[in-house]
Amino acid sequence: MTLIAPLALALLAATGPVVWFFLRRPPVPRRAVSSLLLARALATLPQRSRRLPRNELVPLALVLGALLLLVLTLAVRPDDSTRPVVIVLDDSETSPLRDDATRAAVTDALRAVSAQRPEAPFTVVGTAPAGVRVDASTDLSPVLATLANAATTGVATDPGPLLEALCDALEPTILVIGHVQDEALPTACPARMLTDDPPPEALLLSLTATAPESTGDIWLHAEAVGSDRALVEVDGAVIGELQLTGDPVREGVAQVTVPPGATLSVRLADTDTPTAASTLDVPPLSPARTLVRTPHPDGYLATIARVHPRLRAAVLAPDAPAPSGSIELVLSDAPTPVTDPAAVVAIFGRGAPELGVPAGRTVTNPSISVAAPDDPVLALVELDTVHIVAARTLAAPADATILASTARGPIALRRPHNDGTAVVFGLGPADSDLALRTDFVHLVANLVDLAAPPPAAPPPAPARRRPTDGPSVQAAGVSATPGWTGIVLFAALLLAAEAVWLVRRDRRTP
Amino acid sequence: MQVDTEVFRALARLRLQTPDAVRGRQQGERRARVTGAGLEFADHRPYQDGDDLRRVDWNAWQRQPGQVLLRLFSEDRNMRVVVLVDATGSMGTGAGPTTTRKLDHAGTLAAGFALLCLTNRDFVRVGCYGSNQGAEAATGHDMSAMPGVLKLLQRTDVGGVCDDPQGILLALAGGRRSDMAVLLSDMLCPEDEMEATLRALATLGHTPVLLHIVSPDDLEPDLSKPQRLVDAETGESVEIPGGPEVQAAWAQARDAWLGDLQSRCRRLGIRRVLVRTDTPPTTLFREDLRRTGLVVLGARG
Repeated sequence: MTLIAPLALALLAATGPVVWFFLRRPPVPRRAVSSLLLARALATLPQRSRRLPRNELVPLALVLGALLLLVLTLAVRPDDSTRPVVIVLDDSETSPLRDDATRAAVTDALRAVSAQRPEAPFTVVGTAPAGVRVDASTDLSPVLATLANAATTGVATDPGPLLEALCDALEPTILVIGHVQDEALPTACPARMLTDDPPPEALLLSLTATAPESTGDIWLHAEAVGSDRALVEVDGAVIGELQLTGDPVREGVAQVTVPPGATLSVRLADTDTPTAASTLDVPPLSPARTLVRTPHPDGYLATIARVHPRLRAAVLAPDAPAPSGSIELVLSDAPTPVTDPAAVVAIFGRGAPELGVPAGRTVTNPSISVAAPDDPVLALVELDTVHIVAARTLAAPADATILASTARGPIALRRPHNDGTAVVFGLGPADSDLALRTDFVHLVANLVDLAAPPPAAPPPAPARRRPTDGPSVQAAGVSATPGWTGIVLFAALLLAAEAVWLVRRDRRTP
Repeated sequence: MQVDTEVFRALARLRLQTPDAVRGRQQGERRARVTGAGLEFADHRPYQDGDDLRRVDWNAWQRQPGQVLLRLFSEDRNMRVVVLVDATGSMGTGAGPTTTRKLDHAGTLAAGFALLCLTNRDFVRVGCYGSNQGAEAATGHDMSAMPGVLKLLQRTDVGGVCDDPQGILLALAGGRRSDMAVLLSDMLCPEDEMEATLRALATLGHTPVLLHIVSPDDLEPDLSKPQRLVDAETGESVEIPGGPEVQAAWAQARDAWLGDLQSRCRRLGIRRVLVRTDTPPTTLFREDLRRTGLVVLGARG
């Protein structure tokens, strides 16, 4: 506190004219009268007092009080133009900067502070274990870059000792972003909470999901704190839950089936803390243009091609001309060679010399072993349990991937063909119980996915806390000490009271 | 002072009137108290030695032998009027947008009185006192004296304080008592001075008249705000607080002053006529003075 400030001295000097103005008694007008004979009779009346009238004392006191308060304000107000700024940043997994709106508001607030103090160096102290992020920079760019990457998965630590040291050394103004314990803030330096952010009790930190499979299955992986259970909802209906384990960050994995075009969301359960659900929009599946060449129009291939929701199929005789337009999938159990260009050509019940896969010998009641269980063609298909009456082994070329084989040779393989894929099965739909099993449905679905891959699902929306009343950022008053604004407001209140007093007095005066 | 001669037109056919017989020395048009060589019979009285035998009423001697009576005839004399104008400093106030100074108003009235006298061949003596020129007087008994009277009034200006008004008034009156003595003054003076002035006025004429010249500013001054009042005569000043209380106190003091003056005049037999400077002089002559009987319309006394 010092009174040796130009403005304070000027205000002190201004009190002199104010007092003189109020104490000044304007000279009364002189008036010539015939005689003072009658005026002497007025001598018994109370003469005009030499003292200031009471109704003048009140506004004088109010004005003087306001001026002295302003002087006091200037005296106690520190010079903030060069005072360093230390930003205590909660950059843990609970950081409010995960919210885009809050981060933008904080950025604007810091720009305003920097504009007020162009010479003040900024220091960013993170509460995550990484410690100091920016060390005394008058350039705001690294500070803002730190804010943009502030959200980590670390757990907040106590910044108190570091802040005490900085406070003793720099006497800075402390700006707090996020939740920081009050005990961590030094009392010797003015501190301001830039964000009004209560500590979260439960928080969904992240949610990752795989692309939906042809069957609509999606694998979910969620991380959270404060809760051990997360609910999975599809279009608002709970379809399952995730069990979260671990400490302090809990995580869990689940597989859910989501219809194409639906919206999947995950939110924490058993907590009153408002947490935003991480949502995932499952894209709708597009149909695959399919050509089925079969001598049996009502056979298994023709039937499943008609009923499969993702197949827009045309069932043709083996020698019938192909329709115009591109074809993505060709399914054939006809003995004639297939020459239709397509992304995926699947042959059932014979070899496919036209595709570079000649047939071998015929085997009966073979025992099948799956050679490539992770191949997308055999996803959810258990060929080793299929009962086969008779099948043809295949001569596998060098670039072929054997999917299943018997003791006599492979009976299912996949190889590249004309920028596409040729999948050859030595067993036909009618040569086994495959067509009677759900494995057949899965197999056709896998072929459809191979021919027309489903669009990749967008990444889930980032998990974040749900703000209760929107982002709350307080940039005003950053450059002021706590009592400064109050004193100024009180001084303004005194001046307003003086104005009201004068107006009321003038109205009472006739 | 400035004399408004336009007033003279309104004074035609007006003349001064006194309740008593005049005591003038010169031949005039008013019946005098003395009897002498007049034409109109007045009374009889017993003959005394030395009386003129030509005035013995022989008819009455024949009706009552043994008693010699002498016939008395009334004489027509002129009226002697003295008009005195107060020109002290207090008379210099009262000028306003619609009013003139009290001294100017008094000068116009004094000229009017002089004109009424001179047109009726009455003797008039106009005197001014209190001015810087000292006490001066102008006399006359016909219209030839009117220019001198006007010149005296016009060269008289406001003076200061009159120390001995009684002596000055007696001196101005010419050392003898007049039929009518008119004093034009605001009477704003100390109590002893006021008493001396009124006593002198009562002495100067058989019909003493006080034309009390006051301005509106004397009666209802604006005292709503604080101000410093400066005495026009002495230069003394006093600061007063403004407001309704002051105005009320002033009104109370004014009424007391007017009441005191009225009682003094009544006690001394002085006719007091209040003359406001915002009242035209013609109104005074044609209405106020006629109402008091001091001025009559065309009648001969």
